[in-house]
Amino acid sequence: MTANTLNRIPGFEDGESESACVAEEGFGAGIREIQRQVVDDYYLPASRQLETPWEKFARLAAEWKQATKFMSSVTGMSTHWAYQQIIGMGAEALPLLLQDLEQEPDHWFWALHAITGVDPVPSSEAGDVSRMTDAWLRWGRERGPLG
Amino acid sequence: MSKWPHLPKAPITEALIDIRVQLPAGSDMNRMSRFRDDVRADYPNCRERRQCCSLLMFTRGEPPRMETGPAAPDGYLLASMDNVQVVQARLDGFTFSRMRPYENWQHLRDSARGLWELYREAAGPLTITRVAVRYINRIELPLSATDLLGRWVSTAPRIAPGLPQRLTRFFMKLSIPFESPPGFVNVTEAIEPGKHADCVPVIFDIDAFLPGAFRPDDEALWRRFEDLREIKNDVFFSSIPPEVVEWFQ
Repeated sequence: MTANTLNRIPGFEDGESESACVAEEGFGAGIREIQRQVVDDYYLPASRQLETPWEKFARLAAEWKQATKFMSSVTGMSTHWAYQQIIGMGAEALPLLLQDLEQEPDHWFWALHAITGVDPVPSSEAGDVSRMTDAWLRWGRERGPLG
Repeated sequence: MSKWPHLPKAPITEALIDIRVQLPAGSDMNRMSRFRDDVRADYPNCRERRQCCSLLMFTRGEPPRMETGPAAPDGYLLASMDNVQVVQARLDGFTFSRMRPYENWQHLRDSARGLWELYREAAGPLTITRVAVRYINRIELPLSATDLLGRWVSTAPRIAPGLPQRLTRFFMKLSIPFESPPGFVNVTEAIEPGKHADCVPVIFDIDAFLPGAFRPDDEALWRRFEDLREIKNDVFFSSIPPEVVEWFQ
C-alpha cells in the first residue's frame, strides 16, 4: 500500500503515523460499508425495535417511581396505571421486580402477590418494608427467579 | 408451490417482507402519517421511528469530541394489539413482519400485499429499489457448543484441523448469489448467549433479496417474492440436517 493510495484519517494529516491511514478504496471502505450494512440489517426487523420486557419494565418503573415519589398511600401507589401495567406483564415481570427490589426496597409487594398468587411475608412482618423485602428475596432465591 | 415441506413447529421468531423505495424528492412524514391513519384500526400500537447521526472525532492533543445531529423522524412502526403483526412505513420503504407464532407463507404474503397497496397509495413511491424475504430463526440445539460445527448446521464456520474444534461465540455473515431464480442471500448466523449449559441457541437469519428497479404497480413483483421464498427455503433446508428438520414437523 503506497502513500498516494491512502486517505488519511481526519486529525492525522501530519503523516506521522503510517498505521493511522486507511485506504480510500479497498479494505477500509469495504469494512465501513460492511459495518453500515450489518447495522442497517440488524435493526430492520421489528423484533429488534419493539421494547424488550426489560425495557418496558424500566420505563414503567421509572414513571411509577417519579409519580409516586411523595405518595404515602400504598393503595394510591399500587393503583397507579404504570404499576398496573407492570402487573399486566405477568410472569415475565417477576425476575425484574425481584431484581429491582434487591437493588432498592420499594412497594412492589402488591404486584408480586398479584402475579404469583402467594405471599411469603409472615403477618407479623407486614408493613415493615425491609422485612417484607427480605421475605420476597428469600422466596425468589428459593423458588427460582433469583436462583 | 414450494418443493419444501411446511414445518408446523418452525423455529421462526420473525418473518418479514421488505420493499425499499425511492419517494419523490421532498417527501415528508405527512405521507407516512396518511398510511398510519389508514391502518390504525388494525395496528393501534404506533411508535415514531427516529434516525440520528453521530460523529466521534479524535484529534491529536485534544480530547475526543462527538457531534450529534438532530434526531429526525423517518417513519412509523405500527403493531397489532398483540404485537404479533408489525408494519413499518418509512421514508425509504415498507416492511411487514409476522412474529411468533408464525402461520404460513400465504398469510404473510397476502397480509403484506394488502398493506403495501395502502402504503403505495399514501406514499406514492417512484420506484422500488430492493425487495426481500427474510426469516429469522432461533434454533435451540440441546448440546454444548463443542458439537456445533458442521454436525447440526451445515452452513457454518470451519476451524482448521489441529485447532480446538469448539466455539464459545461466533458471528458469521455470508452473502451468496443465486442464478436461478435470480437473487442474493445474506445469511447471518450467531450463537445467542443462553442460560443453560446444555442448550445452544443459534440465530439463523436468512435474508433473500433482489436489488434493482421495479415499478411499484408491477404485478410481477409478487412473483419475485415467490422466487425469494424458494431461495430462502433452499438455504434453510440445505443448511439444516434432516434429523434437525424433524424436530420442527
